[in-house]
Amino acid sequence: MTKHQKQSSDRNTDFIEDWIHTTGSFWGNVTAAWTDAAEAFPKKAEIFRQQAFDSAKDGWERTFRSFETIGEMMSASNETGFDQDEFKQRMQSLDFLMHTIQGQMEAFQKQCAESAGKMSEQFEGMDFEGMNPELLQSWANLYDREIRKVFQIPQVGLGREYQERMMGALDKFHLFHASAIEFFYFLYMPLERTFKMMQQDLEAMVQEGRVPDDTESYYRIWLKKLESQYMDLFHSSEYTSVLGKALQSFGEFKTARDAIIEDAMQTLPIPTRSELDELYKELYALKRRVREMEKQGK
Amino acid sequence: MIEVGKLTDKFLTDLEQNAERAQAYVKDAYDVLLGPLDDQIAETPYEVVWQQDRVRLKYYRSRVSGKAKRKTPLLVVYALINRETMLDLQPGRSVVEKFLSDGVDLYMIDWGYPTQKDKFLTIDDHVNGYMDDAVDFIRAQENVPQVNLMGICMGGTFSTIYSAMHPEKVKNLVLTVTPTSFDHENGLLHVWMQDLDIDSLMDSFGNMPGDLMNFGFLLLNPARLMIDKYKALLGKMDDKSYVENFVRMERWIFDSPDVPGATFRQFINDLYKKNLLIQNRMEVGGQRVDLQQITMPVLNIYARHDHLVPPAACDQVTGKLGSNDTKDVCLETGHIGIYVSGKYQKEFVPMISSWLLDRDARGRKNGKTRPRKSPAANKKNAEKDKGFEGEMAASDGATVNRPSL
Repeated sequence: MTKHQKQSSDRNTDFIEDWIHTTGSFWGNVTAAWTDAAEAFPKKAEIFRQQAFDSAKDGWERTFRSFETIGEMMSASNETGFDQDEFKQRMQSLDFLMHTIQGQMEAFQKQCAESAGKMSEQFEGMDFEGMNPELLQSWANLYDREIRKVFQIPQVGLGREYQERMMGALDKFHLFHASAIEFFYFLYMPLERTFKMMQQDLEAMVQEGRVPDDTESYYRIWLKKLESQYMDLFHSSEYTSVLGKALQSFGEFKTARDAIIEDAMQTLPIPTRSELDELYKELYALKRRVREMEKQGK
Repeated sequence: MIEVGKLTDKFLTDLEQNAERAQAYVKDAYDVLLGPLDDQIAETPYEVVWQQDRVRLKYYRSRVSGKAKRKTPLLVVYALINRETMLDLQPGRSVVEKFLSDGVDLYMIDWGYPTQKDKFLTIDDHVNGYMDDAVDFIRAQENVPQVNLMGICMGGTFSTIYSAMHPEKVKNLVLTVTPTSFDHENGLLHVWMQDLDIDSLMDSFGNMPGDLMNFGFLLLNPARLMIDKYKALLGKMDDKSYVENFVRMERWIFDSPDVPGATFRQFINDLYKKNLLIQNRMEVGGQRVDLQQITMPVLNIYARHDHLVPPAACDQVTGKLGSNDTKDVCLETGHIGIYVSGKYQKEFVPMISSWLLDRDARGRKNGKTRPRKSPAANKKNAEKDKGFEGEMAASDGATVNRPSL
């Protein structure tokens, strides 16, 4: 052991001894309190107090000896000296590992960058002034071509079926989300257009000096325009297409979501929707048969 | 030159007066909303005389006796969408009450609230199952060979199918705002249904959710139904009577049961998309529905401003029937205006009552098909009956004695 290590060890020993004494004092105070309460049983209380103190002291001494042993082991390795060749070999191995990992990371980063590049191509040259159907359609195309593939990666392992259904539900959720946003955007468009039209009409009315006196008139004009805008929208083929798509994606998401809920319910003592449906179908068929037989009997 | 001072005075005076009015209004509205409100519906007493699964048959007994009493009971078949309680919104504004006061004993089918258990029920189950069993019950109960049948909206479609498949059990048929022809683009529902993948939707949901349908109906005119309606309420919350009527309508309009999936699927596919009924190509329970088999008298009432079931969906059917006693009546109102408007209730119900009473007195040779009136003749009748001219204007519920045929 070197001088420095000895000094360090001495310091550690002093510290540990202080700690032991402090802890012992603490427990001593505790047991003293017990002693006060146990005046009626002085002998036993005294024994108990002494035992508690000894026990605490032993425990800490053992702990200190463990630390000391670890320290000696570390010092021993230092005493044997620093083997440069071995260290170098170890560092070379580590370096090789790091290079391998780095190479893989670079390849992955490159792939991500390529995907991001494809995504950015979608948005180049687009007008981002407010939401528009083109943006929604681009997002839908982007999701379909680049992102959806992730959810369609084949699953492996014991729980692969459950994982597949979970990924399928996530996929359907995103599709439903996109179509719902598009649908509600369509519902919002007439409001926006009506406000713009009102602005223009008000400007014209002010110029012509025929501004209505009461707010009710403004409201009536606005409502009529809004109604007309909605009627035009609702008769359009784009709206019916969006409506159909939204409802279909809603239904598909619900089916996928119900499937994963059923998977979860299988662990519980609760009948699932599919099981009940089978019963309902049997019940329905039986009732029809009975009705037919009753009518034949009449 | 603009006198800013005077303008400011005027503005502040207006503001003060409006503030006082607003304060008084808020106080009155507060009293109305937190006070007792008579907003219950369907309060005319009835008895449930028959039940099968979720379907109940309600019986309303008329207190009228003597010559004014109709011999043949009337079975009212409402749609599967929304509830039949619309016919009995409140005392003094109730179609049920008016029928009873006209001496018509009324039976009404309550379709109940379908659950997932009912999703396999088809149109055949509703028409040849529940309706037929209800009709048989009434015939046995009343000891009559036939019933008068009145269908409302989708219930009218069911009644049409039933009358074609069981003409021997139906004495007279009344159709109100009943869609039978779907080959047009006059109504938004017709337009929207074309792009709907109903099979996929029913596979996902089981039944057609009532809330989803409600949302769809609101979207037919969101400006009026989601904005203007409530804006009007905000302006009249101090009017107790207005608030009560409003809440009654809200209570009914959003009381929307689910529609059994198999029924809804067939209704959309066979009717909205393929329009099979009016072409005599629809099959129910494996049997073809032949409108020529409808040989009993038919009264067909529809509404000119109906945005759910436009006139084009209603006015074709009488020209396809085997009956020679048909009448088309077009009223200047909307889809539910016939039933909920006090004005139209006063005219529409007596019209039906007197039409039924008139035919109550007549006999009919069952199974014999008489020469049909031409569509032009039917249309002429419709024109004549517009605005309640002619026979309809004379309808006052009085007994009409006519020689039996």
